[in-house]
Amino acid sequence: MMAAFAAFWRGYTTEKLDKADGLGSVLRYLKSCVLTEVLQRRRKIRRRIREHHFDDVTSAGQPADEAIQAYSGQADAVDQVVLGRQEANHLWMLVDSCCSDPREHVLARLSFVCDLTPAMIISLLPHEFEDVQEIYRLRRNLRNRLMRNPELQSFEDTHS
Amino acid sequence: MNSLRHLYRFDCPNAAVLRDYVWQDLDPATRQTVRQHLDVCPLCRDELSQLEAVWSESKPAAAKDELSRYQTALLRAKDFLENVRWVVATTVSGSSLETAGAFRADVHQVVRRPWSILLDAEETMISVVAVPDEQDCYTLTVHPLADRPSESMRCQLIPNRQDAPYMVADGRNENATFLSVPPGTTYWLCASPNRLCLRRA
Repeated sequence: MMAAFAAFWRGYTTEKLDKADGLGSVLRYLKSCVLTEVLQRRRKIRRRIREHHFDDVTSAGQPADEAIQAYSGQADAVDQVVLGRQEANHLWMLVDSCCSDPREHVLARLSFVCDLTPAMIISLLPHEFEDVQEIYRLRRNLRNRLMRNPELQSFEDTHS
Repeated sequence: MNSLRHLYRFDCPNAAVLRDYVWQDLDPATRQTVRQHLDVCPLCRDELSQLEAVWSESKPAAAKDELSRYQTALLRAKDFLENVRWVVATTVSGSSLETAGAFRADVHQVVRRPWSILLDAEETMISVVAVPDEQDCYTLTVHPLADRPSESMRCQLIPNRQDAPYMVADGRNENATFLSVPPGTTYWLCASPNRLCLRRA
């Protein structure tokens, strides 16, 4: 909650106050700050769970409630975040270079970046892919290709 | 391929950036970047829709005002249409007021009043429709539905206040005559030669 109030304090400028059409408007900005914090916290929890239970999460689709509880209280150090983002950028470039067509690029993004299941992907892009089976097949092929990529293998060895 | 776990939402803008996007607090370049990201990221789109839902609550007064104005206009229109229906309706005339019995019962009440006059036309049916427009004025459409339509028809809107405009419009044969009636004014509508009286309450 403190983070939400801090964001409100930073973001609610005098210009906004001048434009506000009453207390309701001010409170709604505060509400959006609270929602922002909730969303950010949720992202962090999902990221942690994905990092620590990668195989489980990808196979089960959704992380377990216990895991969420276990990781919800932990905080990231800034340098870890920055380094993590740099590494992720580099990794994504490697993955992207292994995609053979735009469909695979979309699939890689939705699978590995957005962590969507094939069922979610087909519901999101029903015209892009034939069915769930095709998504499974394409994803398997892509994974196999990634595993054979020497640069990615080297990255894997470095960060394992 | 456990390293792929590092990719989870690695390039998504912070939720606070999405909030600033919704509240239009971003500079144009950042806004453009976020917009491009939203095109490819369903997770951010979902979060954005949640933030937009909160933001859209931020104008309840305006929304309420609009709803209130709409409801008022609707009530006025309904009220006015009621009046139009009972005064005008579809009529078949005789030659004098005594033939008022030929009108529909609800019209009959009006023509019995000494000042309500008048329908001394030939056998003619006249239909009037009132529709509110965007300026909250009513547009009257008068359709002469005669077997033998008159050569011309003149409609007059006679206001009950001196400062209100006096309106005249001409129609020919089966052409409709349109009159825009400002709200809050009582008018008499007279159509001649198929003389017809319309009272707006």
